Amino acid sequence: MVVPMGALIAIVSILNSEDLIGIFRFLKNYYPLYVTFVCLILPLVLLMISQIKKTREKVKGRNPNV
Amino acid sequence: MEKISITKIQALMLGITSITVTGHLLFIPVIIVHAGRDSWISLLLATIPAMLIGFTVALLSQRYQGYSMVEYSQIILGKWFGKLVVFIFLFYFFHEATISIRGLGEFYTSAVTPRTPIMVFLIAMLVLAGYAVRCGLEVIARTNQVILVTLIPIGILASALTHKDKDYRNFLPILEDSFGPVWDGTLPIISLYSSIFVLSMIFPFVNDTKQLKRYSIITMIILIMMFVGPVTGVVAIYGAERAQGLYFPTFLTLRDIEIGALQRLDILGILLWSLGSFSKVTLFLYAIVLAIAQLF
Amino acid sequence: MFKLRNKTKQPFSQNTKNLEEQQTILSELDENIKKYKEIFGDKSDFSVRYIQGDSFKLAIVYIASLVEKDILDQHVIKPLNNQLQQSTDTIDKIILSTNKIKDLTNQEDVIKHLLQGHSVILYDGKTMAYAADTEGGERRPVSESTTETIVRGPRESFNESIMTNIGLIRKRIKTPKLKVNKKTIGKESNTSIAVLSIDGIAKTEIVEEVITRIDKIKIDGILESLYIEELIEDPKRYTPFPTVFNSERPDRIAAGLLEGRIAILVDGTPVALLVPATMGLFLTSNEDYYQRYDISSLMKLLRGFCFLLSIVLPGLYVGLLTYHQEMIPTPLLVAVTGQREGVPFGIAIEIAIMELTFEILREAGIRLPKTVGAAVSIVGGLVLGQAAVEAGLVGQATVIAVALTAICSFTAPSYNIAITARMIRFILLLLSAVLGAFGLIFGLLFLLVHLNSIRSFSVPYMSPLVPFHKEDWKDLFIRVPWRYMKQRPDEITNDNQNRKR
Repeated sequence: MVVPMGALIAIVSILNSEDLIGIFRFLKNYYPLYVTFVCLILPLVLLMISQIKKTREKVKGRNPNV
Repeated sequence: MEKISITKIQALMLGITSITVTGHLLFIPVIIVHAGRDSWISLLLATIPAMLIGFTVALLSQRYQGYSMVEYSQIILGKWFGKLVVFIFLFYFFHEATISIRGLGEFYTSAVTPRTPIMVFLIAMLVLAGYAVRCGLEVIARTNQVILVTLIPIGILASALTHKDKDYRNFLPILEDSFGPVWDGTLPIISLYSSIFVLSMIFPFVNDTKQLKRYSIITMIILIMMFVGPVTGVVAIYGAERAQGLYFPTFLTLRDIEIGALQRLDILGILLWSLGSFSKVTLFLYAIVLAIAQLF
Repeated sequence: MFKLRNKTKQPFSQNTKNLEEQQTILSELDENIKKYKEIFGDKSDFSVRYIQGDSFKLAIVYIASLVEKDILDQHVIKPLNNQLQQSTDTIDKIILSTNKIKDLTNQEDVIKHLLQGHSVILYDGKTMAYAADTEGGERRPVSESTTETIVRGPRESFNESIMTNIGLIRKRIKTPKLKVNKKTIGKESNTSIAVLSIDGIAKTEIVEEVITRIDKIKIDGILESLYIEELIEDPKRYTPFPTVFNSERPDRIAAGLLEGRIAILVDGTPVALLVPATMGLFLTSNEDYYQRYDISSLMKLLRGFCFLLSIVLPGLYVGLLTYHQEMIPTPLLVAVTGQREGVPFGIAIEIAIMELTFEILREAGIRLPKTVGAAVSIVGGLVLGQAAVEAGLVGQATVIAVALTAICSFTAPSYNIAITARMIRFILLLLSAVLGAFGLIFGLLFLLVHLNSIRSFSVPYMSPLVPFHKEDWKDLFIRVPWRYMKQRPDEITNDNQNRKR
């Protein structure tokens, strides 16, 4: 598993963009939005859903040790 | 398989190294391009989201103790929808790993040894990361511990030695163009700090998750502090206009250090980024491999 | 059921037992002796002495090269003669004044005891024998250590006799908690080895692990403790680093025991083993604890730095001069490159040749007699070095770099780790000749990951550097005064961590 993933990373990182300027443009424009969505918003959504589930179960079953 | 257990400090140290190094290398130029001389305000504005993500990761891992991101996503969202979300995360991990390793390669080919083909660096680094991943999480965590303990004194030394070149009048006037560019600069920092979410793959192996939330929020604050030095330093030395045109401004500040006969301390910078990038690539490779193993 | 358990306990002594188990001692004395002569050979060092009374006959058999003649005469033959004078009829009870007397019933035991240097007394008409401990033979006295010399501290070193060595340790740690577990290993050599540990300080799991690994050993002979070292190492993955520590100084081994480590002594060699071994142990000299703490702290730091330098220096030199000349201050660069004018090789080749020459010189010097050794060092150091520079084959800076590396590698207190450093040095040299600074960093990172993945008897090799143990750092880079060192190493001892004083 380690070897194919490493190889894939190497290939993709070469295909990523043609040069350094391209990488910086990429980092500047759309990457931050994408990362913020994936790593900040999605976890928060996860947390919220889990919280809702927990509260609902609490109300439903009157069982605090969920 | 023997039981893996690392301490929470080790886990958070992995986060610190991986964020700091690519941050300094690749994200600081982006921030400065956006926000110019007000970059430090962008940085401070990012504190709250940074703490939020630190809190979220820790809380999720505490609530689903012993489960990694892959497993608890499926618990929370159900099997199929959870898998979809995991797939998005996985894609991101992959993307981040490729970017940081490419960043290292570009750093070497453009600033250190221009004649060597970039593939050499990428493959060597990945071989190393693969070896570390095979050795297991404990080895990764311990190696990273050594690396971080070496990096912090170098970083502090570097910012102390560049002090004489710094001219803090470069920061004036503050907020010349209002908040617009500052907000633009905040987003990359937030995205950078958000990548600490990768620790959700590591936290299940932490042996004691008590006070994990507090520790991870402190980690985020430490991270903010580690960025204050370089961000202000670059602007203070070169001025906003010149700094915006540089590819690796933090590396160039190291180049300008002079201590007596020792003139160019590039080797410190090279050491810093190679070690840090190694940690980051290893961490992400581990996360990817583990996530794929748990997903299917 | 019984047989099965026996088998797991002593896997190979079972075989010999099967062959000779039922061979009880014959009642005919002459038959008996004839038999032993057959076994040991008629014209060998197997000796027999008869004592004859009126109605009985005794024979004392022994192997002449293994017994101490004085003990045999004084404590075996003389008492027997005395008894003979008192009553010439019979001897019901033999009273001897040797250390140990044992009753033997079967032939295999007799042979075993004979080979251990015992004298065996055989009767005519009885199927029983007595073994008296008359072990002897020539033995080197306890002398000053030549391989691990120190300025201040005890001078004694181990010798080749295991009993003397155990005694040297017992004299230093006078507690009944010091457990000695003796074993015999080697199908043909029957070497006795001893596993020493202090109860309550050493981790019981590690002690058990050591003993199981030793029990698993299957070999014909053990001539040096390295045989044991290689056979009990962690087999998981290859490492050039030694994971078993060795020393011939009893104080060193005793210090290790007090830290909770386990010592393995082997008969026939003055080198004792210590497990679990960590990286720090190899870079520590015992004298660090015999000199004042401030100076020994500085020495420790210096030694660590030198060890690092002895690994990276040639690589760094090549990397900087080949790929990163801009990082060297200009005057220095001018000086170095100026000297090298006319040198026909590239820097990498040049330093590789010099390093290789040095290794050859060292190898040549080790086994030569001391008087010739001096000549080698003159030829090597003065003639070769000087001449090579003057002939323009190598630059002076290269000679300096090689010499500095060599001297740095001599500071390593343990010979084992210095050898490892020698091997790694060449790999790093190659890497940085190919890739410059990146190669060097790549090599060092690889080394770091590798070091972190090694364990010696379940203790991480880099402990206490990582995993981090705050208390143990007091004895890692520096040595704090004894009054502040209150704890034993964390990974090695579990309970009883306080050094109660």
